[in-house]
Amino acid sequence: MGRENLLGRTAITARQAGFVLCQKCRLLCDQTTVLTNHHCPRCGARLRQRKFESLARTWALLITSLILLFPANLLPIMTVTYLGEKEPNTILQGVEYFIQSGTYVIAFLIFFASIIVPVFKVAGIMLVLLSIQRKWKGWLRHKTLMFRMIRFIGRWSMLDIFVIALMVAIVEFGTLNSIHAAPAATYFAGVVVFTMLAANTFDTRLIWEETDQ
Amino acid sequence: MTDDLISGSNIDEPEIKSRRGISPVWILPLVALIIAGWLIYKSVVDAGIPVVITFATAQGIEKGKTRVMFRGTPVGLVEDLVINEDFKGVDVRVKFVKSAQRLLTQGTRFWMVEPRISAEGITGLETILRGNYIAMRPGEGKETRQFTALSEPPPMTSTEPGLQIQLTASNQGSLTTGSMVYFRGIEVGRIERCALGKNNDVVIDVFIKKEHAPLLRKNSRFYTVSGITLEGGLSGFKIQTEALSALLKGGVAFFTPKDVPKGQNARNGDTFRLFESKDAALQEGSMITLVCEDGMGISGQTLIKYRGLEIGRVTGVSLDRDMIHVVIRASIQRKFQSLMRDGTEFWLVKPKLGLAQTKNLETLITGTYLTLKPGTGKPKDTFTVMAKAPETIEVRTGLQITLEAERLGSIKPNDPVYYRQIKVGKVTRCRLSENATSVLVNVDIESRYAPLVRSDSKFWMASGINMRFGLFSGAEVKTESLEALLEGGIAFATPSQHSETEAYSSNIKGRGVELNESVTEKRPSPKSPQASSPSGRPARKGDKFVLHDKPEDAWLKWRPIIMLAK
Repeated sequence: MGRENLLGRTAITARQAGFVLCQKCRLLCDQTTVLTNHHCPRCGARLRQRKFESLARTWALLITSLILLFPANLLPIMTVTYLGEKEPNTILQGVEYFIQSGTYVIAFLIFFASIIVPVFKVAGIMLVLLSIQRKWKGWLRHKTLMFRMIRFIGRWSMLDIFVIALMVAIVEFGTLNSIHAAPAATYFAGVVVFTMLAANTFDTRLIWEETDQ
Repeated sequence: MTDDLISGSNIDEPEIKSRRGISPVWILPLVALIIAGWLIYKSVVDAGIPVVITFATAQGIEKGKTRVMFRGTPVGLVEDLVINEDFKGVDVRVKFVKSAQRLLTQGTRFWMVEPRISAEGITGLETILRGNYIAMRPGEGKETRQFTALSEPPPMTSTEPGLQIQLTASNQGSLTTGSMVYFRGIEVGRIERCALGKNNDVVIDVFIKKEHAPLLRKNSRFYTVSGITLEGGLSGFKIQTEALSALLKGGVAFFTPKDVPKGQNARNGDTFRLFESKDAALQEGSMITLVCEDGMGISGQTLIKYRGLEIGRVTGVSLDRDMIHVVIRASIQRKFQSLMRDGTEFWLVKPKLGLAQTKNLETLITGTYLTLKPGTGKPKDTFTVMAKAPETIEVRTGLQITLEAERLGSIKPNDPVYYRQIKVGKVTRCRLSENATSVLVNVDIESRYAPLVRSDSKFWMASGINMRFGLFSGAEVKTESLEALLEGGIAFATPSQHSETEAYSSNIKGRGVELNESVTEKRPSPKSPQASSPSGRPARKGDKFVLHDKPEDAWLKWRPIIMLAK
């Protein structure tokens, strides 16, 4: 029934065809195996039609990163010690500093990478999750595209942390001038990690499930 | 879940088990929530206290950088600078750490600390690297969130244990913040602030270190010790300097007079007067007013002495309103205040040069001075200065007797009274008797010599020269001592019992210098030249004697044994 609705005659889903993909070794198994054995005949992994508890886990991880987003942005992310004077800076203060010093490009880069992207990721995943649960059927292709983007950006989001790590290592002149990571760095890394995990635990096939049937 | 593509399969409908329960993944957001909650709680607990401090100028204050330091610890951070609505200052918004809450009371003072180079050293050096900071000194009172900063550092050390007192002076002189306070040349404190007081006098805040605080009494007196004091007089020169640092920075010293019953310990907030010099501080006492006809060379430095001791000093000379009298203001040291009584007489002591008398020569160099004869009436503070010393200034407790003469001759008050050419007393007063038939001379014999005077004693005028010419005996000149020759005086002798006279071979022991006196002279009574006890009863106070013009020869030879009083 689903194929007539959306895919037409040219395509069916594996589930519609009675197959289950082993998520570990990618072996396409017959549904009968699933029902009798529950395990992949090749690698022995447990067979599931969809990722286990995908929605709930994604939600949990997403909420975790959403919570961590606040301390990551409100607390100082690094402390610059200049002539013995410690000056803690939040991400926004850093952006402000670069705007004031006239280097708008760097200011924009930091703002984009450290504030826009994490927020966008969390908001994007949340939108996808909501649209599944609420059965919103519009813009499904765009949502998929967006989700793919989120997964792609994910690995680059740690850039900030790398920059801080690099600066801590490079700028180290004792009390004269040194940089230390501040608490927000941890929370920021937490945001990045948990959004990546959330993107990973999410089963993209769920987006289409409603419309397929 | 039905799949119609797999047709003909003999698979049973799968058994659907609904699995209810919460995924352990939810622990993660829970942990995140706990962390976030803890952070929120901490930020609420540690939330700073917003405070507004109004500065006249925000020079050197930087938003987000300038700190408020208390005892070297940052307790606040400047968050924002806003110019006052009336443009008369800058409201500096400071966020204080929670623990500073109790420091923010009405008495708390704030001020900028800037590098400062002055005589007492370089302070605030740390601000060169770390920027200026706002210092604070907590005070008393209710908690408040609105402050006005001081334009300059306040007395710094109310936190340091010690004594805070104030001095009032007419002039700041060379005193500055950081000038030292000395006690016997040792630094015991420092000046913290000089400012104009309410009455346009200079108010100086002084801090005395705790260990030295007991030195300061309520009756202690402060004086300026800046620079060098040069004193010169007949007795020599005296150059006095305090420590070199006092020379450079100026300073104050204090001493505690010993005479008064020991004063109470000074307490915080006590006020003292600052005298211009140690002398002035010593002089400190009650003010009196002297009125005289003539300024007579009295100046602001003229001393007031009593029996040769300095008891006060003239502080100002001016004319009264009618331009008739000279009004002299003088301060009398407190311990001599009891001399200022009704009946006290003042007069000016001036140098006197003359053939007959040279007096008060020291005043040529030390200047004239005022002296006084104390009265016995009620205390008072306005006196008239007399043109010359009063007739009797003696209150001595010698033997007072009266001599009666036909005429005064050259006798005058203060003339000496001699016994065997030793001065044993003096003339205190000369006056006419009440019926004007004779002259009464009051004589004061020092109590030690009082036994010399007996009821039979003979008095004569010792002034002048006695000359006798004789054909056979040659010329004879008799004088008393040279001083008596010039000044005049009175001599007396007391006879031995039986009224006999004795002759002496030695004219050294004789009464008076006898020139060309014959060694062997007839004796009125042939008795061995042995001394014997004097005749007559001891003279009593107020006894009257006749004052002869000249001695009889016999008198000069009397030689009774009289034990002097001790």
